[in-house]
Amino acid sequence: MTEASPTSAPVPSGDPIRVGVYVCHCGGNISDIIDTKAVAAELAAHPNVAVSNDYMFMCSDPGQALIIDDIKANHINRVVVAACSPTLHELTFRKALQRAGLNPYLFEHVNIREQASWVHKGDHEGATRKAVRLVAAGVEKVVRQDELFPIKVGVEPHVVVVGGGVAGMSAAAALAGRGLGVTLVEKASALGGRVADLDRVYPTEESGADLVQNLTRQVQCHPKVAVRLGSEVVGLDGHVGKFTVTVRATAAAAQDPDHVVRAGAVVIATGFDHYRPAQGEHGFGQSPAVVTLPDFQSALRQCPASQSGLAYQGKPVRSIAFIHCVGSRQIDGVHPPQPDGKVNDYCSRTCCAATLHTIRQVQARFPDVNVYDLHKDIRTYGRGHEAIYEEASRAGALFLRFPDEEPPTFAASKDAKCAGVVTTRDILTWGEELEIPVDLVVLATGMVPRDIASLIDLRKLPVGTDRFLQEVHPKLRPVEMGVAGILLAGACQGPMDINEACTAAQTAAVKAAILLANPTIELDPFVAVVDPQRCDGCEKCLAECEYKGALTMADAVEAGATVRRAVVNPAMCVGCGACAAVCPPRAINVAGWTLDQFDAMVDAIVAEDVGALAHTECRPSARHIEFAMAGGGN
Amino acid sequence: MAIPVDPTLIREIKRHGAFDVSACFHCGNCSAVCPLSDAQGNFPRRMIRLGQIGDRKRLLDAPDAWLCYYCGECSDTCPREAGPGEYMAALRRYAIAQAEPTGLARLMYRSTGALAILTLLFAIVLGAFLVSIKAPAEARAWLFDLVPYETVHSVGIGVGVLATLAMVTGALSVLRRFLAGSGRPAGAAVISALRRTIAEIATMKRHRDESAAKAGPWHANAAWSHLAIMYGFGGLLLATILDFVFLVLLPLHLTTFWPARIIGTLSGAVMMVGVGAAIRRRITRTERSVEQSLAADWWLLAFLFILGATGFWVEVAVTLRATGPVQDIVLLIHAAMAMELVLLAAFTKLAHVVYRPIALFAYYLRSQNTA
Repeated sequence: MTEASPTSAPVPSGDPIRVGVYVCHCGGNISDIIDTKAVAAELAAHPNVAVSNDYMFMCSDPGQALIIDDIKANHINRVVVAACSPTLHELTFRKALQRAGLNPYLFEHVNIREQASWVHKGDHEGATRKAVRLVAAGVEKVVRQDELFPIKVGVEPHVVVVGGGVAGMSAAAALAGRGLGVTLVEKASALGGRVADLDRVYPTEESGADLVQNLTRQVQCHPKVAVRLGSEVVGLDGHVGKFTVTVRATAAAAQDPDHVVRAGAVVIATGFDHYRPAQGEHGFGQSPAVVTLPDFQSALRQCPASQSGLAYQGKPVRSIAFIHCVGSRQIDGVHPPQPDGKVNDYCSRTCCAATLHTIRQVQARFPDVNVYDLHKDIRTYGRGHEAIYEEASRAGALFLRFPDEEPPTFAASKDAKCAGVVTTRDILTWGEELEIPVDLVVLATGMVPRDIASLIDLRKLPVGTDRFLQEVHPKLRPVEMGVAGILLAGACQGPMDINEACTAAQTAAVKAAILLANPTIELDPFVAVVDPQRCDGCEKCLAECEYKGALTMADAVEAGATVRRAVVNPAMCVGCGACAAVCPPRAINVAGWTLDQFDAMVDAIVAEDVGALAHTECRPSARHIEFAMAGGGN
Repeated sequence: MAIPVDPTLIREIKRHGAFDVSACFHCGNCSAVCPLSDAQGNFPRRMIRLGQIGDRKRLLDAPDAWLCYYCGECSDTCPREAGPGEYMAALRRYAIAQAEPTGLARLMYRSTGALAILTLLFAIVLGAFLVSIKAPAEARAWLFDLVPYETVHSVGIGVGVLATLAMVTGALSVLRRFLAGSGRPAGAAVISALRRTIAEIATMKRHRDESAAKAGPWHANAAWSHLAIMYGFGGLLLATILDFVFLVLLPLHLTTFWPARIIGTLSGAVMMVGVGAAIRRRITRTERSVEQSLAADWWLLAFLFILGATGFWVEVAVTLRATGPVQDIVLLIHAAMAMELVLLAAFTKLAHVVYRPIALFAYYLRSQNTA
């Protein structure tokens, strides 16, 4: 069970609110434009401000010491620092407050560098006026600030990994290696996923089967990993630290019970599907001579080593045209839309290297076969990929570049010399139209998201415009989802090669291991808080909430009558504020960002004179919201 | 009209010395650095692409390959080390091989063994032919015992006439090809193009400018050694004709010191200096254009060197009135190889004597038409 812990508590009543304002010069970054002394002097006129200073570097040790000394000696109980962006030093100053014995959330960081001095270099006077108003707003906010406490959540040292391809297995092996229990859920009857189909993989030339075998051995032999084959996830409840995952065997009879796993985190590694070309796309489906790259690769694998000439389905192949970007980098108006009405405008990234690698295999085994490579661009971005491109070129593959809006066409030929003719406009031949006699056309089909709608619906998982699962931030938080504790591994997130999928998987494993390293997780306290005395049970907030389980209605007894009241599960709430925006009686607020605070900030920004702002008394006890967190799970 | 792609062409060209050209990925760096690249900036990339897609006609109808003096800038700049300069050289060999119907040139370019055997075979046949004709007894004098003087002359005339005929017909066909589709030129334009062509050939100014960019002594400079060989060879040709005029048409028995002989001796010396410098460059590989020497490149230099050396030997022998079997054999070798060189001109690198001036002329004429 998760311990009950308050997210906010009253400031001891009776203590008058005394704010310390500190205006940072940032070594000239701010003070060269803004008159920092004037800002500090104007803020000193605010009725709640007890101390107002400026200093060369507030983030330096002596700068922080100023704050700590004022808290201890001058009974400052709220702090405003006007300096750089809060992403840089908000945490620095919160820790300083903590060291001085003050609740670290009784702090406001005002950005007067990026938002004033740097953007108003030609207007010193205006920048100074703007800084005064921003700092005044910060003061007005912080005087209405309650003490906040991080939300503590108990942790289950176990992870469910969904998908048993290379990414899922990599993640499982890495997690188990860190001492966490793992349940690896795989839909198919064997582990391995797409990589098991590959003969040789670039750039290492290993066999896909060997890779899969190696990883399979690692996960199956590990005592901490439980593999559930032929199963899928049908339930995903709870929150970070304490998810309840329901696993069902796909072939289960109605009376078979579901398997329920309690896990602190969930790693999704459901992979991708190969794009299936539309009927008639480059002649696909109309001629047996037009095939997809995966089909050709498996035919090449089955082609006996002793065979002297290349043959496909019994027919000799003397020349092959490989066409890139089939199902990827599609253009509206040129390509037919996908079932969702959109085209696949993303690049599948792996098909360039995969195609060139296949070409190398053909060239090595059948040097007499003429190879043509029709592309928009060659995107051999990865380490060692460019070498494959150069080798293919050196060995005589002819590269032709077609315009985005004019994909190559294929027409079957009547004479026996070749199966058909590929016609393309070639940018490298100054846009002239070329006709290539070929026996086989191989379409380098891209990756499309696997149909995991049922999994997505379980938690309204964020999906990008490309229909792949979406991370919080591609650079800063590349494997985390918007739902805390759910991590991404591999091609379910977007096209990746084996190398990248395994890198992502191991990143996800490390992220999960960090989350679950301690018996409890501390979460930011900026979540929705309901004032039960104001809540009238209208349920408008419920309709707006995007996060399943974060907000529920519960019965409460009030003056002898049973009423419905909104209840927040702070572990599942992300603090987006959608509920606060629609609540008619303002009963629901985001802790640390209440509507009252916003009102006061707006008033301060439009106020002409800081000194004319009202004095704020210690907050009335009626406003102090006590709340106990709901137990773990639902 | 769509152009059919033919993958066999590039394979053929590659065998003529463009071993790395498939690595070209059409970045255009070669065109950016090439001194010949015009406003369209497609030189020499256009030639590479036409080869890759197999457009035989447009490739051979273009004078481009013969405008290139192989300064090597493109090959030095190529990020894929595809050797655009080597490709242009291969294209010249390929053009020579394509222009003659016997297939001899193709064979000699692609196989060093075939080149050696054919050269030797030709030399033996010619030598035997020369030896087989016996002059009247009174004409047999000291040196010309084995191969009579008259025989050398009359066979030489035959070879000369044959070679001249072949050159003229070859030149006309090449000119027609290079000017195909450009319409009827104005007389003034023709004269101007002709003047520019002669100026460039006589001075090799562009070649010297391109070579001047590279530091080094004069003998390491491709343009100067080429000029020496060209003028030396030309001088020898002139001396031979003069000698023929004086000796056969006007039977004046001129000695070694008469003008024809002096021109011949000086020209021979100049040519040998040029040949020596060229051989040195190919051995030391001081620059890009001599990094890769095919047997066909050595062949011409070796021929010129042997001709020069044997020529001087004979000259000395004549002056000293030396006799004996060694002198006879040296003369035989000299005569046979000189005739062989002229007879094989159309099949070897020597054919550039026809191609280059015509390509220059066509280029100047076309650039005037478009200007």
